[in-house]
Amino acid sequence: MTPVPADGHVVIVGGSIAAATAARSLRNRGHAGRVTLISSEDHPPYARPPLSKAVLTGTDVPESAYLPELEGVELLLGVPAVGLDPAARTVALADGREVGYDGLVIATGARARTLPGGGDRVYTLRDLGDAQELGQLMRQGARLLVVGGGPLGMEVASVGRELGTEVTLVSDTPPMEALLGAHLGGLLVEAATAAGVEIVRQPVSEMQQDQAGRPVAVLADGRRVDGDVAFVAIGCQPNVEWLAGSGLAAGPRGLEVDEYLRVAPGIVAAGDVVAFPAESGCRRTPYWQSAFDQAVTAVEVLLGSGDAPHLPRPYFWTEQFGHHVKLVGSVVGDDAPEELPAAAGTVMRWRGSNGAPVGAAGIDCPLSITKLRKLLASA
Amino acid sequence: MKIEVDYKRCEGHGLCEDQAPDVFELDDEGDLIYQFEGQDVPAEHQTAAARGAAACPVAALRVVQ
Ligand SMILES: Cc1cc2nc3c(=O)[nH]c(=O)nc-3n(C[C@H](O)[C@H](O)[C@H](O)COP(=O)(O)OP(=O)(O)OC[C@H]3O[C@@H](n4cnc5c(N)ncnc54)[C@H](O)[C@@H]3O)c2cc1C
Ligand code: SF4
Repeated sequence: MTPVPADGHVVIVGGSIAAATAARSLRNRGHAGRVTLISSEDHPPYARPPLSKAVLTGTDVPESAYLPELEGVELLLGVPAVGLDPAARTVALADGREVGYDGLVIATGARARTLPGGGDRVYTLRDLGDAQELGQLMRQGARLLVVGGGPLGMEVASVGRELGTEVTLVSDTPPMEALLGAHLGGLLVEAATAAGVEIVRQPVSEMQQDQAGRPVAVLADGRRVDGDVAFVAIGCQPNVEWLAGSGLAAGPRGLEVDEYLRVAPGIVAAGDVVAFPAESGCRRTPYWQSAFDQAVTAVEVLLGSGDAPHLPRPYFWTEQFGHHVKLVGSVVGDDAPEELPAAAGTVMRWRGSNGAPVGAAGIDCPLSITKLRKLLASA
Repeated sequence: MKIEVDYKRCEGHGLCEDQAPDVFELDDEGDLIYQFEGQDVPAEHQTAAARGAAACPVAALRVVQ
C-alpha cells in the first residue's frame, strides 16, 4: 500500500476507542497533515467498559468515562458517515457534506444485537444514553429480565442485585462459558446464584408484551418469564451498512481485512467492526484491548512506518458478583485449568493440546496483564 | 505535561504499563506506581505516557498540560 503522504489528510470514521487511538497514534507518529474524526455520537470519545459498571450504578457521572482529549484533531460529532467512494476517496456524511481523504481509518465499531417484540421496555446497552436510561430504571427498583449470559448480561445482572432489584437471567448456553470455559464460568454462575439471580437455561423463542405492557420472554419449552424491564445482551453486530455500494468486503460478519488491517488502497480498519483473519476464517474480536492494538497497527500501516502484521494479544476482563476476572490468551474448553500459587485470589492456567500454556486468568488477584502474560511465556 | 492518576478508579489492568512500562508500573499488590507523580513528565517519556493514559479502559488517567 502506498503510504499516506506526510501532509496528507487522514479521515477516521468512528468515535470510540479505535478511532481515538488511531487519531492519537497519527499525531504520536508525527503525521503533519490534517486529521478529521467523524462520529455519529454527540459525545467525544469515551470508554464503554464503565457503562455496565460504575456509570450504570450511578456512582460515576457520564463525563468520567471520557477518554483523554485529542489534540490537533478536527472532531465532526453527531454526524454519521453514510457512504464511501474508494475510487474518488470521499466519505459522504448524513448532512450532505462530502469529505475527501488521502488515508482512511474505518472504526465504526458495532451496535447491540436486538430481539424483535416485547414492547418499549426492552433495552440494550451500548452508549452513554443507554447506560443512563437503564441505570435510572434499575435504581428505581424495576424487576429485571436479562436475556443473554455473556459478560454484558451477567454484569448488568450483577449491578441489578447490587441495587437490590429482582433479576432473572435467561441464557441458552451456560453463562460465561463461551469466554471463560466450563470451570471458571461455572464459578461465576455459582456466585450469581448465591447473589440471588435466578438463572433459567433455555433459548428465548420470542419476546412478547403482557397486558400491563411488561416484556415477557417466551422460552423454547413454552415457559414465560417477565420483568418490569427487559435487558437484551445477545452480542453485537458490526456497523457496516454505510459501506454498502463501496465494493469493500463488508457484511454481517464484519469488515474483512488482511493481517495488516488493510482493506483497500489508502484504507485500513480497526476495532469491533473488523473481521480479522484466523484459522477458521475472518473473525471479530470485539474487546477493548483488541480495538486499541489494532488501531495502533492500522495507523503504522497507513503511514508506512511499520511493516509488522497485527499480532492479536487477547485480553478480557469482567467484574461481576464481587469477582474481578482477568484473562490473557484463551481458555481450553471443558478442561480443568491448573491452579498456580497466588498471593491473593486465584490464578489459573490452561494448556493447549501440545502442552504449551494458552491462557491464564487472575480471579480477585492483583496480577497485571503484563505479569499474567509472563505465565504464558514461562512453563 | 502532567498526568493525574485517579487511584480510586484504577482497577489494576495494567494496560497503561503495557504501553509505557517506564512510566507506569503495577506492584505485586496490583497498586499502580506512577513514576512522575506530582512532576512534569520528562520530554523523552511524554509520548509513551500519553499513549499509556489513553489505553486505560476506565479513564483513570488524565493528561493535563
Ligand atoms: C457496556 C459495555 C461494556 C463493555 N465492557 C468491556 C469490558 O469489560 N472489557 C472489554 O474488553 N470490552 C468491553 N466492551 C467492549 C469494548 O467496549 C469494545 O470492544 C470497544 O468499545 C470497541 O471499540 P470500537 O472503537 O471498535 O467501536 P465502538 O465502541 O463500537 O464505537 C464505534 C463508534 O463509531 C461510531 N459510528 C458507527 N457508525 C458510524 C458511522 N456510520 N459514521 C460515523 N460514526 C459511526 C459510533 O457512534 C461509535 O462512536 C464493552 C462494551 C460495552 C457496550
Ligand atoms: S490502565 Fe487504568 S486501570 Fe489499568 S492499571 Fe493503568 S490506570 Fe489502572
